[in-house]
Amino acid sequence: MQKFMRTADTAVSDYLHGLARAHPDLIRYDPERGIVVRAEAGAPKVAIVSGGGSGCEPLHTGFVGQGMLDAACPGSVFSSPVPRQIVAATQTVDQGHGVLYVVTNYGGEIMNFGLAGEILGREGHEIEKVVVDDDVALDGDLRHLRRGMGATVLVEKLAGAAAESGAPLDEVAAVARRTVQRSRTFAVALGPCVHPSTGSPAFELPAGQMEVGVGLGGDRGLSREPLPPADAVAEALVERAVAELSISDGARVIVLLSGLGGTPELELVGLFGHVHTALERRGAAVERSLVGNYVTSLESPGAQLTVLHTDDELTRYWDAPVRTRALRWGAPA
Amino acid sequence: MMTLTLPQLRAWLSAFARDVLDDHDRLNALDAATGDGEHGSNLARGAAAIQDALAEDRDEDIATLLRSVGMAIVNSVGGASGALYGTLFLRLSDHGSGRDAWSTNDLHAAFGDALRAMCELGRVREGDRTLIDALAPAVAQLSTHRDAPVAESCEAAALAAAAGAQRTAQLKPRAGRGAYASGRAGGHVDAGAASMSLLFAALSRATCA
Repeated sequence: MQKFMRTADTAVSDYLHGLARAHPDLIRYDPERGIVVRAEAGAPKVAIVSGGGSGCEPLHTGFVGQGMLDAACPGSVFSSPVPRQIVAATQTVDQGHGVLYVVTNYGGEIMNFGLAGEILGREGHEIEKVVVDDDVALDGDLRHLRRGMGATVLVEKLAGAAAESGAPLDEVAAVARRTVQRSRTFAVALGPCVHPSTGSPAFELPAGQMEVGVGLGGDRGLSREPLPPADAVAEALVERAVAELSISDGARVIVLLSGLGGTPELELVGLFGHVHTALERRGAAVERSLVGNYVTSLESPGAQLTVLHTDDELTRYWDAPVRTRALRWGAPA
Repeated sequence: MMTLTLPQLRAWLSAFARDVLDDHDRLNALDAATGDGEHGSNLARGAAAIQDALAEDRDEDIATLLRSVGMAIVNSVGGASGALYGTLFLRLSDHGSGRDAWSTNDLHAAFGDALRAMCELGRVREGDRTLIDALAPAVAQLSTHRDAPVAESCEAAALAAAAGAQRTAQLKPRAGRGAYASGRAGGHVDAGAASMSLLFAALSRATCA
């Protein structure tokens, strides 16, 4: 696999320098402290901080800006940020109204945000944490390991909008938790990604096969099945994603179909049409949708479907203005 | 020798860092069997940070040395392994205040405390197919040999850590990324347990010297 990079060690910092130069109106990158923050803090409000392993772009760094994150802490590829970054981000963006951490449910993220929170709690910062664990692939005695996947984008958007509206920390955290509770994700891959440090594929997948129930970062799935036509793939994704949601006639949903980084628009948007059909067949009303590469796994071909069972409040926060690299709509402030 | 001295601790940390840097490709390959193949690369960043911390050479006691190493790891490695290895050294450092040598019994108490703190932070226990599966049997040997000479105690711990790491090949992962494909894993030594056995092998060599 050929990659545009100088060395594996500089790939992430090169991305961050490039990101800041591409969007000087939106963000600042602080290379000393390893954090990305909003270019302008805006009116005082609850601050939202997230972070995770790099390689899942645009996740978190591409969602820094008005209406979403105040700061993102990028780790090295597929590895969580370290406490020093999270501490620096919190100290930079806390405007005295408290800070919400959006933490994906991986051991590294849980432990490092936990260590940072312990350090900062002693300094008087008011911090709430919401853990995102929308991945339905893991169940039974592995249920506690459910990964944070596509719902992370929804949580960052909706909590970001709630914070922007002036809601206090406990309300912003409640919006985030409700979003997690009402969202589920299921993912499939048609091939592995290649970690820049190792240069080799995360797994081998024979032609004609689909890896089912994958996570991010080259994590293998639950099983391997023959790749069916796209309408059957959509049916399987919808089946798994909505199984735990109360989707009956007229249920309102917000749908995120994210590519894993290596699936062309032609295929992804085509797949979305079948997802839409499969959801409507179950009586769901697709109220809003987002299709594209939003939570990825480097160049992995594949897709993850996230379904949020929405309501008036969540849809209103979804429609609120947002101005980031990866999501932009509504009137600019 | 009935004590582990500050220079021996420095030799241990230096050897561990060198071994991790030498072995990081193998650790990546072990991790790739169930995870994303990054354990070696991540820990190599920690090894470089350990070398930088050792180069500063301003430690007055065991606590200062181990705390600087722990903070270096916590803030360079990332992931679960960074938090867990960092916690290990930070907990060890709690037992070194004002000390320039440890008895075998001190060593056992310090590692026992670190083991408990790591299990609590990571919500893992022995048998989950993690680095704990090399650490726990090593701590058990430190306990058994707590009245023995340091070199003998550390050699027993190193053998137990290596055997514990080997046994992870037969375990079903119940924590961390390895668990995601747990129905399909097997036959490979856990990468974290492998790096933990390097830590005790280096300790054994440093105490024999």
